[in-house]
Amino acid sequence: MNIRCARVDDLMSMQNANLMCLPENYQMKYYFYHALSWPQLSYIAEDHKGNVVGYVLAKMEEDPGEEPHGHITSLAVKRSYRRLGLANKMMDQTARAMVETYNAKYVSLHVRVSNRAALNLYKNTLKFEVVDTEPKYYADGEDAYAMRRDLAKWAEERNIEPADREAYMVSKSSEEKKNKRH
Amino acid sequence: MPTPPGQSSSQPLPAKELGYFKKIVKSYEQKQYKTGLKFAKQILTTPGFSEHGETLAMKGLILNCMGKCQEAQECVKKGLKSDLRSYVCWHVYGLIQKTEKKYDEAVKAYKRALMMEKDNIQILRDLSLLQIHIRDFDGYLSSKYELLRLRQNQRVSWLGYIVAHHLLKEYTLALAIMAEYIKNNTPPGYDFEFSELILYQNMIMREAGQPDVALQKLEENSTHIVDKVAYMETRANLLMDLEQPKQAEHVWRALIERNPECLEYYDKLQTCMGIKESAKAQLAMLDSLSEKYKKAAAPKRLALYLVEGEELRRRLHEWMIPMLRKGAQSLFASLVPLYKYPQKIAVIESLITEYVKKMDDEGYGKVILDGKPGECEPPTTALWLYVLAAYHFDRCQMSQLALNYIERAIQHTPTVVENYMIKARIYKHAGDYDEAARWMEEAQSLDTADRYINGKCGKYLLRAKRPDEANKMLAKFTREGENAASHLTDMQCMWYELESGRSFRAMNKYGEALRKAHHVEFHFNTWIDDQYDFHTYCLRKMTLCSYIRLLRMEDRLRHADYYYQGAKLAIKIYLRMIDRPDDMNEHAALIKEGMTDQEIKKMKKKLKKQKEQQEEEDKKKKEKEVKEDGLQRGPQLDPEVLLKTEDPLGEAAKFCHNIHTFGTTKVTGYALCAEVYQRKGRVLLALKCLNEGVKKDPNHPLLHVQKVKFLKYWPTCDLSGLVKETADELMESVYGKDLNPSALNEKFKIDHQHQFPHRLAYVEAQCALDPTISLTSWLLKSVEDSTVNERTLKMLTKLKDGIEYGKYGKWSKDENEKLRKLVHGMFPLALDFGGGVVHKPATATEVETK
Repeated sequence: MNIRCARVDDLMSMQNANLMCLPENYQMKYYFYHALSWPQLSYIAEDHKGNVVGYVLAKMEEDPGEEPHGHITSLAVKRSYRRLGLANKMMDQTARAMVETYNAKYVSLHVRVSNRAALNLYKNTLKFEVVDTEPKYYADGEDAYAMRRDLAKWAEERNIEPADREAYMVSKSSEEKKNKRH
Repeated sequence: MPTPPGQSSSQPLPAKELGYFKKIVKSYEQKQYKTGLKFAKQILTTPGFSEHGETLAMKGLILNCMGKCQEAQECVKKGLKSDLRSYVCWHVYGLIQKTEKKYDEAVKAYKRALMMEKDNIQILRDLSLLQIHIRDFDGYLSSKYELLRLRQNQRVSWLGYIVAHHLLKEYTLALAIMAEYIKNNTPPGYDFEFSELILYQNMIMREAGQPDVALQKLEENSTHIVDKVAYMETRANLLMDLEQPKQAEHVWRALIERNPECLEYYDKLQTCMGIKESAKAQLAMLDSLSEKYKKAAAPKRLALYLVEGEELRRRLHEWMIPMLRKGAQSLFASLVPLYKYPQKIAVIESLITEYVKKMDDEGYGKVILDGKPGECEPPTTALWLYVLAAYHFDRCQMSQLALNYIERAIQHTPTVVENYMIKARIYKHAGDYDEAARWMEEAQSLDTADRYINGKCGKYLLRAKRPDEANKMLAKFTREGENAASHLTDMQCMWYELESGRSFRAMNKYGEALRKAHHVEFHFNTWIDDQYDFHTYCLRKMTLCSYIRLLRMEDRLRHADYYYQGAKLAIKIYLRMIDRPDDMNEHAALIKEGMTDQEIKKMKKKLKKQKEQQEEEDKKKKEKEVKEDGLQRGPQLDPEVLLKTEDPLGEAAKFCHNIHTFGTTKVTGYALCAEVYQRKGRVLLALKCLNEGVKKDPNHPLLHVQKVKFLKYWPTCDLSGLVKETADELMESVYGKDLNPSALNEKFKIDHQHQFPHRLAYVEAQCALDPTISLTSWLLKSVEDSTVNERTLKMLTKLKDGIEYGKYGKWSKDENEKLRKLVHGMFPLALDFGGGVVHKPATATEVETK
């Protein structure tokens, strides 16, 4: 499958893939919002006819008080395209862009506590860790695990250059200090 | 001095009322609509101010925001009438026209307002937004110029002005202003917005045809660019434009290092290496990259498409075995591009049969498929091999073999959901939609937490003409307590709109089907409207390259296949309304030829009663829905009303207008439009569509039918002057010199005698030329003729439907029966031809294995 950064032209097909795979759906405008705010972060996998068979829809959380970090709004791979490592490959591209373009220190996401397959993927393959449980996060009342994947170390190991090295290092060392104090 | 609102020259308010007025404006801004209306009432009930224009305007604006559009319109119009010299009234009138999508009216109103209040920033902004929205670039530029003049210190003023020049292709000016802006605003360090700006500058330079300058600027600013992929891709493309393939090659290789699954990189790399013509060199390149990036699938897969014969066999073997072991179901999807070539299909088939034989001979506990010593295959290899075989034979239209293999897979592991999905799919392809739905329901019951299967199950139920059950199924994943259809429409779910529309059409419920087609139109209109907010947003966010791409994407939005499918559904139903008005009564099909008058009367009475009952139920259902939803969202269309349109041709033409003015990639789209325009007597439009169609695919069967029909119609056209000249030119372009429809059709017959779809087209055209002609026996022979290609179930079903419609002349009962028997022999499972799995009541629950 062809894996590449998503363009505005892909969003219709991406919305379709989302509606086929997941219960959490969004109107087109929300996809536009992602593509026009963080054009580097969303990725798709397409088949030879150009249909989206998997996607990562991602954004940055830009709270002034927090460290810059990415967030996965939605991730899906069509059932018949699983076991090819597509999610893993797309997520790595997204994570890299988060560091290179936005200085992201980590990436977060939510997952239904009942979704064992997804939980397994995030934990074992993508190295996310559960940091919290958010009660009644989903519209139907189900709880969500809030998960995180550290990007700083991952980026360093792969020689990925953050957007702003100085700021990246500063916040890192201050965090280390904080950790030592605890 | 700007005039404050509420104080227009003709109706000044006294202090107390003016205070109220200010409160209306404030309430509006804070979305306190009810409070706003209260203050408006205060003014309007004061003697002497019951017709106060600006108050009425504000009241209307608020009502509009509350969704009371009709009342709002009236209010605003009344306000404008009583105070024509108020810019507020004109501004609000413009805003209201905009929400009604009367854009030209709105632009005029804004301009009138600006005549009275020249430098009003808000009106200028609203005007400029509308201008870019309707692609009035000249107007946009002049509004942006005014805004810049008034607000020189604002960044968005400058950016808007640059964008306006860019869109007008005034590159020199755009770049000059950009250079000036960059000079004064270069940040010292990391700045995302500046990075985006530099990339936008580069976009303009490339479009201006200045790759050398673009490359130079890109390098100069390289440290500022934090979008690494865009930087590298742009750089590589520029190097190629500047004919420096060696340097470009390095960049593409670096990009492959980053993302070895991106196919464009391999393609560009080949160009740079100058090996596009040499499969051998391409293979060497792919092999070395696949050696380097062991986990990458792309170079291995791409190599499969370059080879044949023994080499293909060897590479397929290496490709397939690990996928079978892993249980990657998409193995088949990766092979699909090979199915264009019969010899390659043969290689795949021989490998599959070889594996199966080995499994059978050695037993799947002991077999080693790749012949290498070591551990034997995991037990699941056999399962996925049977699955692959099922896919393969399904693709080759050998349903029975496919079913045999999926049955073996099920016996191997009865708990694998995929097995039942594939079984359902085979039945679907074989034309037994009932059995297909049954197996998809089985699959669904094995994994009720997966939406993908749930959706597939819904789709299959729709195909089996069971929309109520489909909705019940789909409701498991839509908002609780709400009907699935309205939720899916809310979420703009295109596959659902189209599938349910087709399902209703198949059940002769044309009104319901039309409603779904109109939903598609509604969604596309929403997506056009969605861009509105981004005209402001992107200038602030500085994501200008993406913004320009959005504008361009919106301009060709209706190229999307979904749109074409929806429009086709609608247009064909509208044409049916004209051709076969009796069909619009959904029970018409029950009244069959050969029934006595009394029987017909009885049937009609029965149907009338049924219909009344149904209407009563629908009414109750609707009331319930309204109650549950509170306010109804989305498109509100009544199927009955849609069916009763006075002007079906005009309705069809609306869809055609969108297809041909925005352009379509489909030759059949142009054929369909030509038909509608010809019927409407729009000669030039019909010809233009034929001409566009000919450019896409001159020999497409559906286009051919339309060409012949038009040629028959042509001598009756009475044209003169410029119209005639244009028409003559187009005629020459479409037909050349020979304008004899029969000759055209006969030539088509000979040229494409081995194609079944073309034979159908020949007969349809011939029947249009001479309705008394009968080519029935020739068509029946064609169905049996093994030298004729593409006698697929899909085409044969089209023949059947076309006979019913009357496209292929008169068919007797015997002839229809002969056709049915013939096709039944070829496709024994096809329901439409009397086939399919028969379930005896006692054994209905048993697994069918024929």
